[in-house]
Amino acid sequence: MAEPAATPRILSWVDRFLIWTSLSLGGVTLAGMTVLSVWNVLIMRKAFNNPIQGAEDVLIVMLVSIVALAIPLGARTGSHIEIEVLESRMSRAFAKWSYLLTKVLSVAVLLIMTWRLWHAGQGAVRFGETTQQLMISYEPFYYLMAVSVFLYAVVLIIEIGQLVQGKAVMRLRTESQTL
Amino acid sequence: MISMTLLGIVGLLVLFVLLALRMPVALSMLGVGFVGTIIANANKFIAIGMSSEQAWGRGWKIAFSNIAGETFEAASNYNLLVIPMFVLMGNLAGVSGLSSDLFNTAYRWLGHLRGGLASATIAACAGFAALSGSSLASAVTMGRVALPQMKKHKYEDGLATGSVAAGGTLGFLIPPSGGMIIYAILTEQSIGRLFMAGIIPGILLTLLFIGAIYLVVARRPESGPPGEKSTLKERMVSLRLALPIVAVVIITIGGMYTGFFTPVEASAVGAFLTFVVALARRSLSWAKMRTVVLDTMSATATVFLIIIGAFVFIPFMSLTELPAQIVTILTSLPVGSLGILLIIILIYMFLGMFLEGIAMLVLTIPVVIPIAMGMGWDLVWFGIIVVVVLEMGMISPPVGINVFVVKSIAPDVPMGTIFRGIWPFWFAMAFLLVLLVAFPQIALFLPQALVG
Repeated sequence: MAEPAATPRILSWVDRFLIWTSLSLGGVTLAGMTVLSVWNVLIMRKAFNNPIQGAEDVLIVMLVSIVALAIPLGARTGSHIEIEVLESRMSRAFAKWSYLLTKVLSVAVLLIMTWRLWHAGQGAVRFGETTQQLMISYEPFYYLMAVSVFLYAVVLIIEIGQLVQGKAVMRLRTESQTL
Repeated sequence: MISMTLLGIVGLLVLFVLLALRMPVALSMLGVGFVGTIIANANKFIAIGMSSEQAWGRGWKIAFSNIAGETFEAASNYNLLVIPMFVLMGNLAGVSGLSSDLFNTAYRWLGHLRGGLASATIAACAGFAALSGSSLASAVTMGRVALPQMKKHKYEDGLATGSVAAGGTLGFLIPPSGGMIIYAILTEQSIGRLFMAGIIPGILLTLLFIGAIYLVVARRPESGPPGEKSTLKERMVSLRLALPIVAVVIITIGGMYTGFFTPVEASAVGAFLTFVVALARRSLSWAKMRTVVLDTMSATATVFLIIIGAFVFIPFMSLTELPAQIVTILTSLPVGSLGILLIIILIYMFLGMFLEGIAMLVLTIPVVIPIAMGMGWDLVWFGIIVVVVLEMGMISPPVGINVFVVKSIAPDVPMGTIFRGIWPFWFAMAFLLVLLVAFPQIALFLPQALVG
């Protein structure tokens, strides 16, 4: 539908940032979740009958972190499922402009989410939103989710710019996606 | 004021238009769910006599609260920890060559039979499915290992590619299954019970696939010539190589069934053990770990965003009472419970021709589950039925996703040939559906026997 193009510089920066955060923070969080779970279950609970107090709380905030780190990466790797069946039946112009329209709508939805997540974060302490045992406040994790969703919106805005210029949107490929 | 039913219908229509225009499924559900919640609540408050201005204000407030609340609710749901953990387990198994060991073992034992390589592919896919919850991952991983072997032994392209595409779908049925996790979360069923319910149908489908291969080669022996026979020593060596994988599956899934682990704990233990096995095999490198982390994060993003979308969309659908209306209409049809089930299955088969499995699952649940509940069907059993029909969609023309995956591994095989090779397996799935409807205990025996 559009001319293939090299990844624009701004998208390259976004990609580098997302890969770096996913590999470092995401990798560490995934490893941490695995090790903490296994240690808590196999060693502390099954062997010593003394589970780690608040392990579930730590796992929950790790999960929120993983989700927050993953969503913008998924935006770049094309992981957020789209139904492309009808694309081949559309005229080039309709395909381009309707795709642009859905991207604008998507940005609107994501910006509302960003705003409300940030707002909810500001009220988290007031409403006592914490984990159950360790009382870890959800406030920073609401902000993390807000930033994550905002980054997804940023990715889409850059893609809209690409489409308006008549260029194809180049996805970030992980090695396994290069079949 | 718009009637609630009409609002529900308009909501669904707008959703389908947005999907057709390629808006991401999750964002379409989020957008429609958000706007729909505003209108539905404003309507509700106006109906009880509130002033229009106040009612709309309340509507906005509820929708704002929902969009943030449901997003965080999904992202902080402890039970959903199984998603990144099982995905990690499957990705570790995929990159570390465990799939080759599984295939080699199955090949040593079955390869000398007519159609044996295709049967070995199915058996290895079933084994890999016990490590991975994704049908795509199963098809990709096993396709890369099995297709070159079948080409070498002059298998017909249709049988070779069909067995990989169909075998891959076992990843969706045999636990741990991504589809079952999403179904369980959205219908508030136990993940463990669904996993248990998937075991016997998974084994049965594996056998039905092998039966389908037998019928194909009985009709056309040249489609699957026998390979060389392995010696007993070779077979035992291959078995020893596959033992660590079997051990991981037994400890992880077995631990969950015996109540030793919860599903969340089992997923973490499974990921850890798969990592240890891969490390012991010296098959991990930094490059592979990079791929594993990025793929795990990407798949986590897919599933979580779609669950977030569903968490916002489903309450809107319930507010409109459209699902309840559909239940009333369906139950008044003179077709009985079986007829209604058949209608649902046929609709799923039709949608499966155009929609991706997970998308179809989250899009249909708000409407289909109230019907299942209204009919008094066991939701665990119904979940297995839905998963099998979704599997059929994965290999149905024109957009069967597994077929495209196989095509990307075997670019020289025309799509038509792959789809022709699919049919025996498609009918095997349809036969499994018949069995599940006739004998629900196939799905329900294990959860009832083990959990009660």
